[in-house]
Amino acid sequence: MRKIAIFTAICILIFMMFSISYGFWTDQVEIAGDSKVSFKIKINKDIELEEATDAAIKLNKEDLVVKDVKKEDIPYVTEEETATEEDLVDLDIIPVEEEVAVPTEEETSTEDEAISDEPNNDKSVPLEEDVQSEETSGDIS
Amino acid sequence: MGKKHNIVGLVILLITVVSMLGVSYAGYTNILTLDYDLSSSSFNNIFKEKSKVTAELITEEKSKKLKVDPIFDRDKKKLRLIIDNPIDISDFEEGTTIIINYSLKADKSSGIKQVAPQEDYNIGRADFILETVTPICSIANKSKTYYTGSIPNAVYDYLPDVLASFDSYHTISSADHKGTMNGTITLVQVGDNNFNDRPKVNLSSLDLDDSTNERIVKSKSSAYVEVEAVYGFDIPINLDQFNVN
Repeated sequence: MRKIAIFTAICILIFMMFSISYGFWTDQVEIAGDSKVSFKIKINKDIELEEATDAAIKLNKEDLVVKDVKKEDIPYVTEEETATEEDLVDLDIIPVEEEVAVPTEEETSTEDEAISDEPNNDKSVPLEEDVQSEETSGDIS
Repeated sequence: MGKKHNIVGLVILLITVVSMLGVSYAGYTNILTLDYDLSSSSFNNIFKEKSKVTAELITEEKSKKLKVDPIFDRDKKKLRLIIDNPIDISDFEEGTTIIINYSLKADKSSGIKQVAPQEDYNIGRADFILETVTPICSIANKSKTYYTGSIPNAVYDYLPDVLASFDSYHTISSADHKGTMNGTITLVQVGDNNFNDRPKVNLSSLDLDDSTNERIVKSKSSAYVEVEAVYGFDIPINLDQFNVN
């Protein structure tokens, strides 16, 4: 038992010596990095599916009779034929029309006032009530 | 009484003789002290700040230089590269290679001025691990943006914790006349990330308001969540002393 303990201690000591000396022989540097990665995750429009399911349940309640239809009887329609105007805009086939802001009447009138070169001769005349109140306040003071 | 006097006289005589011998020996000799410190030479290398750090991404179809911002830590033993331009997820496929060029030099305190050169030495596996996600994501199709704001939890869960694994290879040259050692890390992607094969994100899981949901559903074209996540990697490089013959 004692011999085993001594042997283990010697092994540990030798291993420590090796590891320490290896530390002196070698050197370590480190390269780390951070990179931005952009993801584009496709969305499953499951809300539409839920609505369809609700609609199907509603139709089932009304005892709708479903008929089998042969594939040959369905008229074939290509994607191009079914493409909506919105799709064509998305695919840049139709340019998007920019909305031109049309000024309202109020905006136009204020602009006219600002642009007009005529001097403003309107003078603010105090109302009788205001004059009276001023006189009253003067009496009090 | 007479015997006692004789003994005392003998002891005094002995002390006197020993003292005289010691004094005469000291007169004949001198002491010189020699101090010598014996220590092993240090081996300490640091990144060279003045040299340019570059990175390049090579896929099957293209090769592009990445704009990098190198940051050295205080003791210049660690180099952190911030890759500014976002890399598209589709660029991470099997065989994608990232090459990083850097320069080392021996520290002033280092007794050994040269590392052992290496040529495409395999230094292990490096993983791109999810660190943070940018605070804003957007939901859009080809022409419209429906939503811009904080990232829904469903998207957080969707992003892979480990984007890709790379085999790392290290090359370092001998020191030139200025003591610069040029190093290259080559990262070669192992396996595909299979990101595009993953299922779509459900619109209902994004917790958007009803009007946004309605707009997305009504649109004929496909909608996407666009998000930028930050992935990080760590590559420790062990350097050996140059074996001088």
